[in-house]
Amino acid sequence: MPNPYLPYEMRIEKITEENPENDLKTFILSFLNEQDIERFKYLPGQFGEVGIMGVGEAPFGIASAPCERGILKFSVKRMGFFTKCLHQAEAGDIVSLRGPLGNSWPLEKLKGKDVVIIGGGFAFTTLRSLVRYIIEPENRSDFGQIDIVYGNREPGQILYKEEFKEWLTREDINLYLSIDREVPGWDKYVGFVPEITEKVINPSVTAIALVCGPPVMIKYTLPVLQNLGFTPDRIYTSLEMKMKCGIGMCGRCNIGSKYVCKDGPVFSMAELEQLPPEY
Amino acid sequence: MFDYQVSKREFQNWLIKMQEEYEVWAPVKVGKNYTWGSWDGGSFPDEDYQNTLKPPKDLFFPQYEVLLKYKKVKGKRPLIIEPDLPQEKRIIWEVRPCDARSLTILDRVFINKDYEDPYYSHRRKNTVVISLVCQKPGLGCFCKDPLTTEGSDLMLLDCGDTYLVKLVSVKGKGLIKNPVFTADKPINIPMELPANPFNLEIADKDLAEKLEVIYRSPLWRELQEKCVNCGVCTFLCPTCHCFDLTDDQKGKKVRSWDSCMFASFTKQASGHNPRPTGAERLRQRVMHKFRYFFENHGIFACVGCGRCVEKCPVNLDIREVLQRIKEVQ
Repeated sequence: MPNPYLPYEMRIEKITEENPENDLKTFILSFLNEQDIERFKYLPGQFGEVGIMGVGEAPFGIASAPCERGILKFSVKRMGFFTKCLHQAEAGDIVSLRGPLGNSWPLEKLKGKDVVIIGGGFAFTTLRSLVRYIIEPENRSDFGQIDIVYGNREPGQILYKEEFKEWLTREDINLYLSIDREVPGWDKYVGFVPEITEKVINPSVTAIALVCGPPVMIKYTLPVLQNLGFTPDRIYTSLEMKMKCGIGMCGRCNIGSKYVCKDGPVFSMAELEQLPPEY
Repeated sequence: MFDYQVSKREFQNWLIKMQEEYEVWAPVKVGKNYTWGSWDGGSFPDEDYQNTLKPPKDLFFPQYEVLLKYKKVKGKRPLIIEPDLPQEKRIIWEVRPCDARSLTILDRVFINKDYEDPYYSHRRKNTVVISLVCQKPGLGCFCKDPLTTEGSDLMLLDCGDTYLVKLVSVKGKGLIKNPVFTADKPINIPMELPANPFNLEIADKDLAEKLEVIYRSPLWRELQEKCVNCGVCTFLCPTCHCFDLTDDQKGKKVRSWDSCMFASFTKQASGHNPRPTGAERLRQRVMHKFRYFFENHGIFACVGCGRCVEKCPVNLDIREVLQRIKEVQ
């Protein structure tokens, strides 16, 4: 087996500033070794440990999709010491990457079903990967209707603004963008994610909901989904924990007997109901 | 059943011969305590040898270890250097059976179907474990079976001037494939202890069942009153394996032991901590050993060595904790 601590070497190709505060950036990375592209096989929902040599590593969900060959995308909020250092990096810098780690969004289970995607703020990363995967022409017919509710505090916080503009024009996606409070010039939805979801989502009986966002958003969206008829085995979310190894050995990211890094980060609500509420 | 009886002198001669090929490690007395050190070829532990202060996990999973090295040159591609994996062949002997067994618990963590830790697995593969049966329990001991052969390659029972030897693993048998114990043919000696004071197992199925329902009990907060979250129990535990990964300024990726007793262990960059107080951390330690690990691997992550009992600065005795848990209605 390969040494799980040996990282890939990546070059930062492009850095996009995503919000006016400039504390949310998207990094596009490319593999320094061509042959690593084939070795790094991943699915939407998985994550990687991005590292700066001499500083450390931290886990981030992969925001790109496998069909975007040769590059990986990570959107990172400036939060602690490592993300501060990463935000100081420039295009051309070399970073390290371990992965792909963890499970993925339940792609097999999603096949043939309608998919309801609910995201909030900068947690839309692996959901973006999934949407990008689903709308790839060769995959699109595997999935049913796609509804997306994406909420933000104000328009400036929306991730991937250009891409969302394009998705708004697509006929095969129902996209409901919302902001918390009215702002001049905003002609989409206004309100919090749970209420928008309640208003716009009218799910089929087999539809599956994928939820990712701040804890408070998740907390108030879950009852709404249940009222809409989603059973706990048809609601999925992706969890975050402090992680180091990413391979289920260092011992810190467990919830009960499950390691978020290895058994997750994606769990169904039915699975989470079996675990202690320690996250 | 033991397989051979050999005089201690003959066994010693055999080990000395093995030193040509193997590094031999043994308990070495430093001050009042025994620690793992290079065997000098002569001394045997005194009669009062109970166990080493630190378990042998250090020899497989060191407290501080360099996993990778980097060389960064401005404007150039950094060089990532994977250190040579440990190749030296080692014999560790006079390991207590509980500690030998702890290695089979660490194996489940570091060598599994998804990932293998190459640093650990190389050391494990290249090391022969010779255990020495305990004939009287120590102050904090609570193992059930001092004759367990799990994790041992050879097992010894001290009979005064001689050892009874049991060949346990293929590796152990391979080691003495030449008739080193020339004086004796294999014999069959029933495995029985002089007296069996070891009936101390308190981690049983009842406990596992109780732990299923005790997550929200106020007991954790009560137990925590005493605990100072120093982490000694986890550092001295032969099965605790939590670690941190850090980069130092000089281009090393370092792994060092960490502990679920510390707030920083799970505290996220946002400030959120899923285990914010000592009560949740104490619960995590107990639950991990006796419930979560059991759910994942079918065994408890505790071998009853008693180090956490003897060295806890506030006498928080895990045996009492488990008893209290069992008594919760």
